[in-house]
Amino acid sequence: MPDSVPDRDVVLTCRVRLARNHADLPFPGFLDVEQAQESIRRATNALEPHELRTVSLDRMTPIQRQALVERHLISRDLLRTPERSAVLLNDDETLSVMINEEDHLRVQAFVNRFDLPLAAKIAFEADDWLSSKLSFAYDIELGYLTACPTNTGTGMRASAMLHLPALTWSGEMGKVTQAVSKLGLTLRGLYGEGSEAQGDLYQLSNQVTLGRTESDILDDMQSATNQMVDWERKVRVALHAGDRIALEDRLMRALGVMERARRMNAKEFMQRWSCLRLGSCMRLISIRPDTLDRLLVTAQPASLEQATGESLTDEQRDIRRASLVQTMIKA
Amino acid sequence: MLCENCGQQPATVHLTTIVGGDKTEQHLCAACCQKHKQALTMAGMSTLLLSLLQGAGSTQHEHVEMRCECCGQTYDEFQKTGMLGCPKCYDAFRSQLVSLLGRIHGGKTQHTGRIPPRSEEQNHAAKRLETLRRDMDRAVADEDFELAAKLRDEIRAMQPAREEEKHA
Repeated sequence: MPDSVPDRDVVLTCRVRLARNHADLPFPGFLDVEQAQESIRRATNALEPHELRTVSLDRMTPIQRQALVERHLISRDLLRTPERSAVLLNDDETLSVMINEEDHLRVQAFVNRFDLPLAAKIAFEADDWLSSKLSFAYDIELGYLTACPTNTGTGMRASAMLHLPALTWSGEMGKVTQAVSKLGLTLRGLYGEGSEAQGDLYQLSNQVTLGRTESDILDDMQSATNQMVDWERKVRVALHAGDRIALEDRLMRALGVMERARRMNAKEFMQRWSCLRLGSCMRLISIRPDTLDRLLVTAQPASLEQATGESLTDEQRDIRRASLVQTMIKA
Repeated sequence: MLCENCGQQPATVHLTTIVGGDKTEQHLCAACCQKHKQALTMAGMSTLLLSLLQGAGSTQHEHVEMRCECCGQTYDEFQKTGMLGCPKCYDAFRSQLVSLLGRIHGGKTQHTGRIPPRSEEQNHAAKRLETLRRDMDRAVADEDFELAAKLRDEIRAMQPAREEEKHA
């Protein structure tokens, strides 16, 4: 293994998200301005003793907001109504509480490795803080009531971000998608428009939220992720054994471009990045996977612009990206 | 000809898509074609919900407008957007939602997860409910469906009683 974190070769991060709503307010899509402020006030008050930092989206520039999305701290959906939304973050940014997204509260724990029990612990602790102060919409038969019935019940979505280049390149993803759907789980591309999976990055998450306990759902996710890790590893080995030169040629060409290119758009970056990460995890390329994982975030458009401190044209951004890639992979 | 998507492999598959009379042609390599196929099977959660809702709509022949008294949201509007207006919508559209929830969540419509901390009376009710559910499961296992149905009605009846308690 290239470093000591188990399953780092396939799993980048994992996340547990809980959806909660105030019992006596309309869901966020139906809130007037005053009610939206009330929803923010209640959540901020309930979390006050826990030293979370409140980020008011309406005081940020669009680039700053987008950078929060790229760091997985907030969802794109939250940005649709920045003037009536907020987010609370803890110091190490493992916990974020989004206010007035699709539901009044979206508690999200985010861990930079495959450790679902840790993510669940962080999320449930925050849920306990909130529910000791707030009265949540809850029904004894249906559980936590959410704006969309796809979240009703536990309101919990557990997910893992997976890097599956070997399965993707060998055309196995159709089989993989079918297999996980039989387990009540779903797999989708994480970057790129629609269902395109740029960087061969996917998110595996539970689809069912009602009728199973949180720990049942977490167990399912744990074992399905383990299976995916094994499957991807086997195909990596098979690809290398099958045509070593073809695989190494593909990875090394990507390395050559990443080391030398003077400008690079986001789509090309994602393709080359995927090759580098696979090469790194197969110990064919001597760049650490965690360096590449940091690069994945910092090379995204808004993060690049935020780091530069000025607004950039597409061309300028592509030049900055190529330069950032070289600095980071040589370090 | 190279694949339109990756620009690396030769295009061996030529796809023609016709949507509403508009014809588009794509020239892809085998790997990108596979991805394209996956895209069709990788429908997101909201797509799933909307397809279920539209499916549900087509089987309803009699049209009665249902409206949540608390927020004014109608079931018709919910069918279009997949979004409920307020927690009380779950009471207003209960029977429709329970059937929809069953289809979304693999047939299950009884929450078994975390319970928010509640008053003592409510805890008492939760315990009573647990006992009722256990008895119902036992009745089903024993094939005593008459008893099971009675217990099921009792479980359902507890819900409005508890709502009144809250408002008292």
